[in-house]
Amino acid sequence: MKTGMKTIMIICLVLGVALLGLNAYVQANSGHVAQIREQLTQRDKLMAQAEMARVLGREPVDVGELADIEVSSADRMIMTLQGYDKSFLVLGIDLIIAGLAIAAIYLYKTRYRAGKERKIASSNNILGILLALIILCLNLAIASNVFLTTSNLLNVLQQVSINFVIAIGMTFVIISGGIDLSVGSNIALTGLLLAIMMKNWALSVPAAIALGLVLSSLIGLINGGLIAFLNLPPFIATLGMMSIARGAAYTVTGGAPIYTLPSAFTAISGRVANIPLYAILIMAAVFALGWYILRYTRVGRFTYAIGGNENCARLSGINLNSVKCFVYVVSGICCGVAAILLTSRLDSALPTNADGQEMDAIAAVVIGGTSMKGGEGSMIGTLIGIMIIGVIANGLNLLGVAQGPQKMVKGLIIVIAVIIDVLRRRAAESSK
Amino acid sequence: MSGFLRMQNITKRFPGVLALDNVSLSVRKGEVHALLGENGAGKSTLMKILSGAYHKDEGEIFIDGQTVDIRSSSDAQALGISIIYQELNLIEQLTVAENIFMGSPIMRNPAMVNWRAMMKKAQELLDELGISISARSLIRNLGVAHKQMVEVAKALSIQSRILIMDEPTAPLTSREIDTLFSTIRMLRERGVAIVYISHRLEEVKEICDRATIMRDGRNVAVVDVADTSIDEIIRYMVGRKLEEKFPKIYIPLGEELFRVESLSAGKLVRDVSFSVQAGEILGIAGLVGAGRTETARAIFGMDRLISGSIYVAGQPVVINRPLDAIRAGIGFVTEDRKEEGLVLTMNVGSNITLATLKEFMRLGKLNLAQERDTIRAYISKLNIKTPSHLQISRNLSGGNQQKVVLAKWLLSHSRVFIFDEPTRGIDVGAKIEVYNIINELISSGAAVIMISSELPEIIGMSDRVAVMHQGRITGILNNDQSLTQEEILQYATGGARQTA
Repeated sequence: MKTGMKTIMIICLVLGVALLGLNAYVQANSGHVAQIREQLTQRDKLMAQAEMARVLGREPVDVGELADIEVSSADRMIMTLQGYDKSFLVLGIDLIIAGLAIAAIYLYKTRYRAGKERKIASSNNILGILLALIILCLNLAIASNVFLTTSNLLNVLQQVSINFVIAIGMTFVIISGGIDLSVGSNIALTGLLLAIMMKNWALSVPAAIALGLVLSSLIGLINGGLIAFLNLPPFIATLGMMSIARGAAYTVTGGAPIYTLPSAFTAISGRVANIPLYAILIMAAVFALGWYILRYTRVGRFTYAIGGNENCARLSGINLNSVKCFVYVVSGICCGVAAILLTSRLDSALPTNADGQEMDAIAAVVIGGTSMKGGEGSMIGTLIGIMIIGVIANGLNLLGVAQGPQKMVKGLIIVIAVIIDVLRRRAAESSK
Repeated sequence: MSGFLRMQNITKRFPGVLALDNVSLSVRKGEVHALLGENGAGKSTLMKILSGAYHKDEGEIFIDGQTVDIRSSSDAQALGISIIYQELNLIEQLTVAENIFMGSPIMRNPAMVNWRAMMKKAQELLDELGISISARSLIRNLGVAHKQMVEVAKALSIQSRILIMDEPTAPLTSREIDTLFSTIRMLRERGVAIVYISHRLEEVKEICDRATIMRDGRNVAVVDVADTSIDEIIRYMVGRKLEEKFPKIYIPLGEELFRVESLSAGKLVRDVSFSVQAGEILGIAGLVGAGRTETARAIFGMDRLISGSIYVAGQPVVINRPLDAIRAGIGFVTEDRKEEGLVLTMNVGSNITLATLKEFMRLGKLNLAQERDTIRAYISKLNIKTPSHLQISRNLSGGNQQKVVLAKWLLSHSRVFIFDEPTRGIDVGAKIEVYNIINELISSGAAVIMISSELPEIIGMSDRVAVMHQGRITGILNNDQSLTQEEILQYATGGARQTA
């Protein structure tokens, strides 16, 4: 095990340095190679001209003696590698970081392990995913010139806003030991109702928003009621609601979208001085509220308790039913807020909006270190999880990766995050 | 030593506990051998080692003269060892035959079960045992006795040479017991070595040949059942004197704080009545399955009451859920720390304040600083060994976890405390600390109900002892100097039937 780790470390470092060296070599010779390329194109052009003249039966233009261009095999290799030099750089740096991380963990263990049991605290976990986010950003900054520009980062922020808001709600649900699959449908239905209220019923924007939030929280309350009072498994209850709400969204307009909403409403996602100010403020407010409730209120503490051990929570006098209803209502309200953001940004409401959104939200929460078994997790973790998902989606777009592979990558990351959770749990159990 | 099965000098340690200390057991072919001892004497641990659930730390096991190494239940099965637990291991939705051949169904080819052969073989087994049930009937349609017979048949189907029966008669009526016994006698004829664990000593007299008696993880005696009286066996089981020291204090009793009248709930709480005064510890003794925990659960609103009334400080209270009990001033330290006492994923501090979080609210916000101060005060008061109040409870030792649970209830301003097995699975030092906490409670005028399976603990700490048997209180005994474990055991095994 230990020698294995050492080998991996050495391989990482050697490969990393090799890749960086290769990149440096390619870079250093790029001028030279460019010259050769230039000459080659020039010659091709002349030869094409001559060929054309011959075909047309014209008098061949005298192109003079064609210079013989020498292309060494090294140059040939550099020319093929040139297209990949960015990936060499990224991969090389990642490998070196991985190697150093292994070395650091090894050093830490040998120096500080005084026979004490390892303490697996959630803060370690957050540090890990934060590191992952930073490395991810570093990679993208190298791979794409556009990534680190202000306009792109603002774009990322606006792109994650929907997932951001519902992942906050989802964090409550998953910490309580449940799951909410109905968030995407909830957003679609609420968005359509917002649009109908504003366009068809000519309600004022604030009134429509208020009613929209009432509707979305009502959907959450129904979920919570089914789960708390009828003891339905959360997966089943919200799966049913997912289909019902989506069906309702199709039904209310007969499947037709609604376009062109009041400007007071679309202004919510508008930009002030090129910054999506309101959207950012709303996100910040939702996050702050979620963080506060989880940390500073009884119901927040109880959310952890029922997720960790329902029996004990009940014996400690906690009203399980009301806590369960609460978390699903929170999730519902978050859907309402997300519906406002999405509908105002698209300036339209479609029954297909936010399809599959629940997967992104769950992924963000799980990547953020919240256990699918409940009882463990944090808002900060979810925040980082959201950013990781958002940055990956943005990066793949910038690199021109198609939708198909993007979905595959996302799925892979979710699976890896859960594997890490499982391994961490196993380590915690075996150290006991 | 002769003996088909020999376990020699088996030692097993659990963290902080020496569960088995040089225990030996020898069972002959065609013998029904009783394994006797109080709860916690180490019988189950010994049998779990034999069946591969635990692995021994020291000692040797011989079967038919050969040393064997049992590391898993499949090892045990391959050696012909079968165990029939108190809780039956059958799948209700399947047929008798499917259950009998659960592990190794008879196959027509690698992909297809040979149903006809399996049914036929199962029926033969049942007929051999003289059991009049069809191999095709579903388990859920059978009575308890027949289910047990199916377990026996299952054990025989794998050619068991050694059969362990753990309290097999507990759920049976006397007619069903007769059927079981005739089956056991038949197995004895066939030369199967049977280990029979039971608390019912009359049955042991009836069916067993020899008995190994254990106490506190050690061998006490091996006796021929025919030549030994039940009284003698009980004396071996409980030993002569209390070996542990209990810091019992006597304080003047105050007003009656708690009373239940004619409490009935479920199958195991029948017409239970008792009362506890301020400053008093009422011990509740009884064997496993006597309804002690069920009584506590009913009082605390965890199980629905069928009838009966509960009074706290003379006032009738209605308890439908734990919250009602807590509001009435009752605290309940449950038997199962991990399942019911603690939220293992939460930190120590959050567990301590879980039941009293309301008191730390200021204007809708938790006052974390005040909460932390209280938590720290209790951590030092109860001497909870934890690096920080933010340590995850899962990482604490059993004794410290138990103290966290105690801290939670001490914070709750309850006046009536129910302790269910408060010292189970914790080391001696922590036990004394738990007793001292209980003493502190009664000194401050609380009433304590202490359920325990350890008779020395009951006698060492209680002012009075209520003994339960099959859901009823068979006696409430004053714990003066003359109360003996024998006396309690007699009530616990169904009244004073076996008086000396």
